[in-house]
Parts: sequence; C-alpha cells; structure tokens
Amino acid sequence: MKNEEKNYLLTIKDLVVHFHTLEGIVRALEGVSLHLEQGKTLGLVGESGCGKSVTAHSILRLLPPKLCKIKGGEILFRQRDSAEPIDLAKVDPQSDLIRSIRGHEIAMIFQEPMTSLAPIYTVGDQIMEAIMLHRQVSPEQARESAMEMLKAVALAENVVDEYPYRLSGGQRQRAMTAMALSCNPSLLIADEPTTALDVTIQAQILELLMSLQKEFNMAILMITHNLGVIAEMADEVAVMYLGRVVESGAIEQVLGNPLHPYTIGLLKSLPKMGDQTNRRLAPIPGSVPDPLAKVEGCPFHLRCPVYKQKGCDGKELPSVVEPEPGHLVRCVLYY
Amino acid sequence: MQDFKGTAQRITDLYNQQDLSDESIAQQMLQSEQTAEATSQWRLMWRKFKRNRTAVIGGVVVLLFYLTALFGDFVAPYSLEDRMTQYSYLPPQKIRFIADGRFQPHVYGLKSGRDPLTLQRTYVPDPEHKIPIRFFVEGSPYKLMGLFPTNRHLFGVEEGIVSILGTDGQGRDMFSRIIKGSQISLTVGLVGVALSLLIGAVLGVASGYYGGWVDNLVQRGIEIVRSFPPIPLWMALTAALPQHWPPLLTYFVITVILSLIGWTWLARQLRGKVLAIREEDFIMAARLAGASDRWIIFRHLIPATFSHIVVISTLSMPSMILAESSLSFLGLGIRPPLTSWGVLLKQAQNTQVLLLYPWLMIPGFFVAISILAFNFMGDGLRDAADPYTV
Amino acid sequence: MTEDTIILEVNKLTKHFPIYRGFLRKVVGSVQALNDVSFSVKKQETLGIVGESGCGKTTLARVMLRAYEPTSGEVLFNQDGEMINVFSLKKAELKRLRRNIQIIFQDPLSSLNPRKTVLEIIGEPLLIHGVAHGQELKSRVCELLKMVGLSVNHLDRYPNAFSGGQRQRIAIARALALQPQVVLCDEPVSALDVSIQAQIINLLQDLQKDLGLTYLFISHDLSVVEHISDRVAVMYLGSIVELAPSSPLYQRPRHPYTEALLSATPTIDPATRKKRIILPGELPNPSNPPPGCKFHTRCTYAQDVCKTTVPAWEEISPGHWTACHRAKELELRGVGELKSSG
Ligand SMILES: Nc1ncnc2c1ncn2[C@@H]1O[C@H](COP(=O)(O)OP(=O)(O)OP(=O)(O)O)[C@@H](O)[C@H]1O
Ligand SMILES: Nc1ncnc2c1ncn2[C@@H]1O[C@H](COP(=O)(O)OP(=O)(O)OP(=O)(O)O)[C@@H](O)[C@H]1O
Ligand code: SF4
Ligand SMILES: [Mg+2]
Ligand SMILES: [Mg+2]
Repeated sequence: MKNEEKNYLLTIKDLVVHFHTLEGIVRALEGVSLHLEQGKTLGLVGESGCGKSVTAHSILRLLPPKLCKIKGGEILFRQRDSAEPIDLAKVDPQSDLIRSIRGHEIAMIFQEPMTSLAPIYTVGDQIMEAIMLHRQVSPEQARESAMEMLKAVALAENVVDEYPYRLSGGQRQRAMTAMALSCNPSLLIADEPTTALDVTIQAQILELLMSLQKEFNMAILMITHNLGVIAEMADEVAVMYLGRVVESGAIEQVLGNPLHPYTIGLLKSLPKMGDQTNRRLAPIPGSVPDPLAKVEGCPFHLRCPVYKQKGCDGKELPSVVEPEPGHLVRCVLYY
Repeated sequence: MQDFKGTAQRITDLYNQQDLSDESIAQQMLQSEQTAEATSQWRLMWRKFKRNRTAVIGGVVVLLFYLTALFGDFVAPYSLEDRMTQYSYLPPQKIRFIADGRFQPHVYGLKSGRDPLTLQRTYVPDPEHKIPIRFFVEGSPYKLMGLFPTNRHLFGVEEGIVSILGTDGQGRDMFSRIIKGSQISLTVGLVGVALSLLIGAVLGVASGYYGGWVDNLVQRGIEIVRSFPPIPLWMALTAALPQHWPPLLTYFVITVILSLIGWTWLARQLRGKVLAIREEDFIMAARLAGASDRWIIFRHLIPATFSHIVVISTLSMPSMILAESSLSFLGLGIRPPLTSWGVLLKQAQNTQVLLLYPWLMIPGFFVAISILAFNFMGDGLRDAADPYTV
Repeated sequence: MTEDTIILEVNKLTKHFPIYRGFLRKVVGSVQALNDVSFSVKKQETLGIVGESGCGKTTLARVMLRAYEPTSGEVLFNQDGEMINVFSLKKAELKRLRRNIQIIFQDPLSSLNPRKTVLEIIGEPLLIHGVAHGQELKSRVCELLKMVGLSVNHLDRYPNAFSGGQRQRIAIARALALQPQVVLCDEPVSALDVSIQAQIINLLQDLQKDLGLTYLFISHDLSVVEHISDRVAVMYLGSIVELAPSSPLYQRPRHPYTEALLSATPTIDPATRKKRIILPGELPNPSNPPPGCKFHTRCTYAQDVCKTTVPAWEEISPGHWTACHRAKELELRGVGELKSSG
C-alpha cells in the first residue's frame, strides 16, 4: 500500500494488549492500527472502556508490567535524528531508551493534572526538573526556560513558585502542558485534557494547544470521547470500539460522511446545537459488553441495527476496507 | 464507486426506524446482558477474602483456637487441678509414632532421679517401657461445654503420664492448662469487644450522623479517655477491686474495664465511616423520599457499616487479649484458681525458672500466635470489606 | 403541549454556606452559592438550567427540595390549586410534599445503595410512605421497571451488576415510584457515554409525555439542554443571568455570558469551524464575588457602570429575561450566526 511509504512519525500496527486480572483476561486492545504524521493531530474517540487510554499508555510503555502484556503488534516511532523508526513495543519498559523518549520526544498530559503534578513541589521546580532530566543545563538556565514555558501557556510568572493545589483546574492543566512541552517533544499525547474542565476553560486550553502545535511543530494524539472537540482540533480521526479501530480517515470524511454503523450511531446520538427541528435522538441500543466477555466476530454486532435486521450475520471479524482513499472502515457492508 | 454512500444511508435509516418501545428496549437489555450474577455484599467479601492466603490461614487458626477452647475439657488430657507431684517440672515429652513396626503413638516411661550436683530432679526416658497413647480414654470427669457430664478425653494414657508441653512445679500438665487458659483469654477478648462495640457503635454512629454538638461532645469525651496512659489506668481500676470478690466476678469486671477504654478506637473508626456514607447520594435520595432519621440510620447507615464493625472488632481483639495477659501477668487480673495465659506466664516471671524450665514460657507463644492470627484475619477482612471500591 | 398553570415558583432564593475556621468554628465568611434566584415553572414543561461547575445548579435543586435550609427567599408549589411555601411546611406536610417533587442525581453509582437489591431500592419510597408492601409492592416495582425499560428478571440484583445507563434507569424508576408531578434532574446524563445518554434522554422525554411530568433539567451541556428544554435559564456564579424559551436563547442570546458559552461549545459540524470567543480568566471565587455585574471581570463588553452597579433583571422581549446593562444595545451572536461567520 502506498500509505506505508509515507514518513509517519508514529505508526501502530495490529497492537494487541491483554490484562490478566484475577477475574479473568481483559482484552483491552485486539488489534489497533493507527498512523500519525509530523505536525498533525490525530483524534482518538470512543466510549468509555474502548481502550483509548491503554493505547496511549502502550506508546509510552506505562502499563502495569505484571498485569499487562503486549501480545503482538508494532509501535513504530521515528526518533528525531534517526532515519529508521524504532519499535517501542519491543523496548524494555525499564530501559534508558524509553526513559529518554518519555518526556523528551513524546510527552503526555492527563485528564486530572493533579495526579501527575507532585503536590509537595512548586510548579517551577517540577518543570525545571523535567528540563534538567533531558538537557545539560544549569539550574538558572532551567528556571529561565521554565518561566518561558509558563509564559507560552499564558500563566502569570508568579505561578512558578506556587504549589499545584493552589491553582484552579484550568491553571493546573496549563502548568501540566508547560511541563510536557518544556523539552520540545515531537509528539504530545493528550488523554482527555479538557474533560474535567468547563466549556469556557476548555476553549482556552484547546486554543492554547493549537497555537503551541504551530509554534513547536509537534504532532498531537488527542484522546477524548467528545466528538465536538475532535471536530475542532483534529486533522484525522480514528473511532474505537471494544479494543479495535472500526473507522478512520480525515476528519471531513469520518464526521461528514460516516460509514461504520457505530460511527453513524454515535453521531445520531448527539443532539445538535441550534437544530430547531427537535428530532428525536436515535441512540445505539444496548450497552458496551462486560470487559471480561469475549465478543466473537464483528465487535459491534451485538448493538448493530444491521445485524438486528439480519442484514449481516456478525459471525466473522470484518477486515479493513478502503471505500474512498484514506477512509478506512471495518465492516462487511463495504466489501 | 459511490455505492458506499448508499450503504451508509441505509444504516442511518435503520437507526431512524428502530423500534424503541419499552418492550424492545428491555429485550435488547437482556441480549447485551452482562454475565454478572446477583452477588450480595457478603458473597463479594468472601470472594475477596478467600484470595488472601495469610488472612485465610489467620482465620483457620482463630477458628481452631476457639473450637479447642469450646471443647477444652475434652481435648485436654488432664483437668486444671490434676497434680502429679511425682512428675513436677517434667520437660515436654517426645511422642513416638512407630512401635514394633506398626503405627502406635506412644511415649516412653520415665525413670526419675536427682542430679547429684544441683539436686534437681531429672527424668530419663526408658525406651523399653512404651506407654501407648489411647484415644477417647476415660479420665477425670467434667461437663462437656458445661452441660453433658462425661469422663472421656480426646487422648490419654492408662499408666504414667503424657505431657507434650511439660509440667509445672506442682506437676500440672501445661498443655491442659494452656487449653483451659485459652477459654478465659480468648473470651475476655470476645466479651470485651462486644461491650465496647455496644458503646462505640452507638456513640460513633450518632456522632457521625448528627454532627454538631453531639459530635463535639463525643469527640471530646474520646480525647479525655484516650489521654490517660492505659496500663496505669487499668492498674488503678483493677487495684480498686476488692480482694475478696470471687474470681469469676473479677473476671467479668475486668472485661468491662477493658471495654470502657477500648470503645474509643471503635467509635472513631465508625464515625469516619458514617461521615463518608452520609455524603453519598443514596442517603440524600432516601431523605428526599421522606425517610426519617431512624429509617436512614437503621436501614442504610448501620447495614453499610456492618462489615466495618466486623473488621474493627477483629482488629481490636489482639489488644484485648494482650491487655488481659499483661494485667494477669502483673497479678492484677485473673486470679487462681481461674487460669488464663497471663496467669500461666506469671509462673515464668523469674529468670531462674526461665533458665531451668524454659517450657513454662510456652503460653506466651500461644498469645503471640493468637494475636498474629487475629491481625492477619482482620487485615484480610479489611481489604475485603469494601467490595465496591475496586 | 405545556399548560399555562404555574406549578413551581421560586422567589428571590438565596443560599449562603458559612465558612468555618479554627477550633471554635468561627464563621469567617460565606460561599454565596445562590443569590436572589427567581423563576417559575409551568405545568408539564421542561425548564433547563445550564452553567459552569460551581455556579450553584445542584444547590438550587437541593434547596428547592429543602435538603438545605435557604438563607432567604421562598419556593412555592402548586398543590391542587393552592400555592404552598415549601419552607414553612411542618414535618408531616413536608413528607406529603415529597411525593410530588422528586430528584434524579448525576452519579448513578453513588445514588443507589450498593447493598440493596433493585426491588428494595425502587420499593423504598413506597414503603416509607406506606403506599404498598408485600406482593403489591413487588408488582408496583415490576411495573416501574418495565416503564424504564428494564426487565423483571432484574428485581433481585444488586446495583453493581448493572451498567451506568441501567443504573440511571433504576434511579429514574425510584424517582417515579410515588407518581410525582415534578422531577428535578440534576445532570442525569453527564456521567454517561454518548450513546447511553441519548437512550436516557429519549426515556425521559417519553415518560414526560406519558405521565405529564414537569422537569427541571440541570446540565452543563448546552446541546443536551437545548434538545430537551422548552425554556432555558443560564446561571453564572449563583445567579440567573438569562432566561428565555430555548430557540430565542440559542439563536439570539441577550447576555454576553450566554454568547460566550455558545461559542465555546465545540460542535461536530466539520464544515463550519467557527471563531470562538475566548473568555479571559476564570470563574471568580464564590465567597468573594465581584461587585456590580458579577460577570464584568470576564466580559468583553464591560463598561464602567458594570463594575459598580448590579444590572436589573428585565424582560427584554416577551418571555426573554436577562440581567445586563447593555442588553438592549448589544448585537450578540447565537448558534446560527456563529456558524455562518466562521
Ligand atoms: N489496570 C487495569 N487492570 C485491568 N483492566 C484494565 C486496566 N486498565 C484498563 N483496563 C481495561 O482495559 C479496557 C480499556 O480501558 P481504557 O482505560 O483504555 O479505556 P478508555 O477508552 O480510556 O476509557 P475512558 O473513556 O473511560 O477513559 C477496559 O475494559 C478496562 O477495564
Ligand atoms: N454543602 C456545602 N457546603 C459548603 N459549600 C457548598 C456546599 N454545597 C455546595 N457548596 C458550594 O456552593 C457553590 C455551588 O455549588 P453547586 O454544587 O451548587 O454547583 P454546581 O453548579 O452544581 O456545580 P457542578 O457543575 O460542579 O455540579 C460551590 O462553590 C460549592 O463549593
Ligand atoms: S452588564 Fe456589563 S459586564 Fe455584565 S454582562 Fe452586561 S456588558 Fe458584560
Ligand atoms: Mg481513558
Ligand atoms: Mg452539581
């Protein structure tokens, strides 16, 4: 395929991740494939429990090592000054290599910044630490850069000496972003960065991320369950269901012309603002199966209206097809 | 080429035409049903508890101890006051299992003599003289569980002596005395915890639920009680007990004294729990449905704290057992003819005895084991008690 | 569809939570959670309440049900044609009123007692009021279960065996057990996934139609509120700043805060990426709200008068109320215009 030839920054191929819990095996990822170009934004959407966070954590190898196994697949990441991409799925999660990538080339921001900011150090100290970990600079220079970063995320200079608990939710998310961007990463993973925030603050953060992306020319993997946020932020989007990508493509393709029954259902479930017809919502029936249950065949068939109307037997796992260039869908109806 | 747009449109239409009547929704719910069975709180707790190996071992040990205490007179080969003066300070005997090539538990008979230097009595096992250990033998009479008169014992010998943990200076079998002692040591804990539960649960739940001045009063009360150092306080209280009181009454009063101090910890723990549960929406929902305080306390709060009461009681058992042992050891608690582990340990008070007859310290080992077992079990219960926070 | 009789009237409702400090619990200030809130709800209509976190939505619902005593103001409920003040009711009368006004909570997990079965949970209000017991209770609960789209087989299960959406259905069944006239929905769909959210919204709408319910629907999601509400009130820092039928409010808002909220809400229409109004700063501290118009610290249209004088609560066009000094002169952009200007 010609897609392969492109120089993607990040390519995930058929990633399979299982959790071995006491209750049984949770098949969190069952073959996820994604790719992300330098400087672009890829949105990852799906309902709670579909594996968005697990995908993100696999890239940085942050998953609990005892509980969780990468069963297969590749995570190809192109490092800054090397021609050949490395496979992060094969890297030892304790190795120096992954440590030098974390925070330096790939940074991450989380939904609740409080959990990733240490409560007993000032914001400035934490940013300085992040800088000095990856760059050979003196504390004075590090503090200088920390101030600069805080300015870039539109925080007042005195925040440098504040403790995280003294900041509001929006300020904390900004501080977290400043810390993540302090080493100028080429990929930023944002896991529900605005879910805990109010819409007006969310708008501020999204605006900030977009302007920083231009300034630093970084790629963003934007994880959220809010399709609106994706629509405004992303260039490409991948829709996940039960550990699989069921549809992906350019944002106009997927949201403007959805193909997979799940994507169509998601869009039909959303009330549209300013839509005066007051049409009744057409939700997806049922709910996501238990994480311990193994769904055979098409992951979506239990809730799919086509399957219900006997338009598809749901038994086989559909392969991915490409009805229009760049627009991939995993559904037998498009064979 | 444009065909896929038609397909997408068809799917959209299917969504719009869905039968969304209540009947069909219920049907769909059943189809995408999760396999979770109806699991009650206790089942969930048990499942979690089972997984904790040390907790289960602790639980089994505790259970064994109580069973032994319950059937103490049966399990012990001798009664509390059986004195075999010719065998005083006998070290623990070795039990042998094979005699004449077949399974026959037995002990050797003893020849006693005197050490010519120290004039200590010494015992020499005589391999020629095998005394078989018999099961369900007749011995001194007793009432099983205080009810059924009988004279059968789990094991015993027809001649000589069987003393697996040795004897004391008056020739009383330590094993039998430890078992009899456990009856008191273990029940002081039970009764004490039950009493402190009564005080602690009422005050703890009330202070958590009502807050305000009730809470203030209870909390200050707890602080006052806790600001006394416990051992001198116990000593003062027990020393005040008249010497002529019958031992049984002393025993009872001592449990009351222990619980008068023990309840504070319990009340604190429960109050914290109630404070947390009080904020849950389901309490608010009940209130807004018109439920009275009494309804909420008895239908929601108490059942919700019940598992914690179990945990807290288990975890406060060790301190009760320890307290009783220390008091009796100091001679302030249980007094002979009643026997507890603390009373038994009192015999091992001086170093000379310790050096010469180290087996008199074995009751201390039992204290330690029971405390460890309770702690292991309590920790397991605590981890299992909140089956909803996983 | 809606009648014009007023079923619920809130007059100048104010709630301040005292802030205590120190050992003697001295009052050192107060959180002004609600300030002079007034509105009325018509029979069988849905009044939506939107606003950002901490603006007092939950407090409003709970004070209306007298879960907290108000600082001042009154809530009148139309009981068989007579307006009675919720705050002057005696214990027994209040219990009777509770049959008529019920509430659904945001978190379907915390609002169901994990130790009770579905039968016990839904049957509880019936038992409290002595409406039914034994076999009759069971059959009433079965009816309610069917009404919310659950199966009768679920009666003896515990809440942890259900998904979020199913739990919220149980909570709805419990709220409807006493056949109330008014249901206060405090963010009933905020904790749910989009597809489940739509199921619950449809269910609420159907129940309203079948049972003639009146809803107060609280949410921070503007599109959900628009979809379900006949009229919408926008709250900011403990006060209502705008109240209007939903279509005028979304198409032609008259308060700068409403405009900002509308523009900040991301929409999925990829063709119309709009130009956002980014409000500067953050929500002020509710224990120390700014003087004058509370919104002036973040308002792009603020003038000197806004910093000193509290704007009046005025009916700017029939049924359209707002509190802004410049409401008459400003041409604010609604949803439609936001789109076309992008
Ligand atoms: N530490 C873990 N132990 C066991 N199972 C886990 C663990 N972390 C995640 N899972 C399981 O993996 C699946 C995917 O979880 P993941 O957190 O990626 O979902 P998500 O898409 O990020 O959802 P959300 O929107 O709720 O954040 C879920 O079924 C979850 O139960
Ligand atoms: N019991 C209470 N004691 C003290 N302050 C309270 C109490 N309940 C609410 N508050 C305060 O009152 C203000 C309004 O809170 P409220 O919960 O009503 O907001 P909300 O609009 O429901 O927010 P959210 O969207 O986060 O649910 C907040 O500042 C909150 O901190
Ligand atoms: S009164 Fe002034 S500050 Fe308040 S919203 Fe209107 S213009 Fe803005
Ligand atoms: Mg996640
Ligand atoms: Mg709220």
